Amino acid sequence: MMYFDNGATTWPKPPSVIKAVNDALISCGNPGRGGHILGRNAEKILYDCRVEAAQLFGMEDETRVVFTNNATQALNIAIKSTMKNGGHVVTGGYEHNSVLRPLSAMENVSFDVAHSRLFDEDDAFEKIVSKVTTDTKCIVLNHVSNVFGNELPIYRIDDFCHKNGIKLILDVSQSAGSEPINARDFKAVSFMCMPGHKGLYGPSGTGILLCCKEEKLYTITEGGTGSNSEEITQPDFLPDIFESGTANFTGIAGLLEGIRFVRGRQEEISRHKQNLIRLFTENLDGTDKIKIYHSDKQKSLVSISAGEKNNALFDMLCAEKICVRSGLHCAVAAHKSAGTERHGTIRISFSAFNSEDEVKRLVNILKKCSKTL
Amino acid sequence: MQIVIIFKSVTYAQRAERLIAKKGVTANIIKAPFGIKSGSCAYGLRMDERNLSLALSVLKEAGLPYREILAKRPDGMYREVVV
Repeated sequence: MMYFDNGATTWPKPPSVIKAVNDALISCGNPGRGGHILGRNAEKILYDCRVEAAQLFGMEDETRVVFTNNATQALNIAIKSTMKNGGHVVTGGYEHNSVLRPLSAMENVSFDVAHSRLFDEDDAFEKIVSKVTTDTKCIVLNHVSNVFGNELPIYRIDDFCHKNGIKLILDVSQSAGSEPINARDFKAVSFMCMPGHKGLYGPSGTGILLCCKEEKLYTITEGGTGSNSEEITQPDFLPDIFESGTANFTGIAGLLEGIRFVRGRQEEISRHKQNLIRLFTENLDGTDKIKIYHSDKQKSLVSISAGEKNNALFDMLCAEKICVRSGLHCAVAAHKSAGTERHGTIRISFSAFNSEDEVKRLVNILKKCSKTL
Repeated sequence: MQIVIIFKSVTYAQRAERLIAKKGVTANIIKAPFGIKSGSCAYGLRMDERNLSLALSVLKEAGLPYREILAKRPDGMYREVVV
């Protein structure tokens, strides 16, 4: 078996992550409630993870690191808090459905998707700016597309938002852990949203919401927080306002070790994945019947397509025990931008654990498959 | 005498513990006693009374709010300390 579906969730996890999850199941109780030794063990894990995440992403105050179940929940909180009172939103042309569906569900919100040419950051910037109106309160933009690995112009859009009084929500789901992301580098970003189980190498069921600005916050879920229990209204302070219910302390124990795994190694991991992309695309290039969506600035993953034969190619790869993902990847907007919505793509996504040898074997299998398409 | 600085949540108490530790002061996080003025389900930072002044200056510098300060009496009961 070879695993190239790291854009969905990284596999395998570092041994330290697996051990931490196991240890937490043995040594932890409900954090922030009982005050006893098992609760204190869990509280220490949560706090240490907040500190590690804050340091990784340049946040000065670790109380602004909120744990979520995944990036989708983080994006829902960020979008629905920011747009509670309605208004207009612009999104990039490569957003995930975890951005577009929350926006579609908000009756008092209108939004425009700024479709742009693939691998063209200038076009993406111009198309986003062209959609902004006097009613635009927020731009939601991902850093790296989960379909094509193309980067979006987050720094230029941040500058634009800062100059025009518009809030910016960043989805860093595909870049967190392997690309340098520092909250201090941004002026208009109010929230950054990410999963814990992809490039941060934590377990599934973990995510992080970074709350970068002092602003009025609104909840989408309320409940017990272990604080202010004499009041029936939700606490208004971070992180409690967004963390109701028992925390996923076993998952966060693994996430803590996942962050420690990548911290200080992001450039190395990024270079490794870039090398695998180069190896994959150079060796597969020229193969009839398989189109490669590739650019020199691509991050972490590559999409390929055999057009109407995508399903057949995917079945062949499954038969060879190759784990990749086919279809729309929950990001129909990206396919509309790139013109691939009819057949979708097959995504090959890499992690720190993939090797050059695996990539060469994958290329050979793809070449073999292409002959029978 | 043991002093407990009460914070609104465990995360704030943890942040305070970390900041105070950087100044060489050891403090322990405890669940706040039930029934105190500033409400239930809070967490506190317990330390020796001699470290209170330094701890409060660290919190002030960091802009980290606390709710109240308690002293633990020999009989195990708590009384509020007015600074």
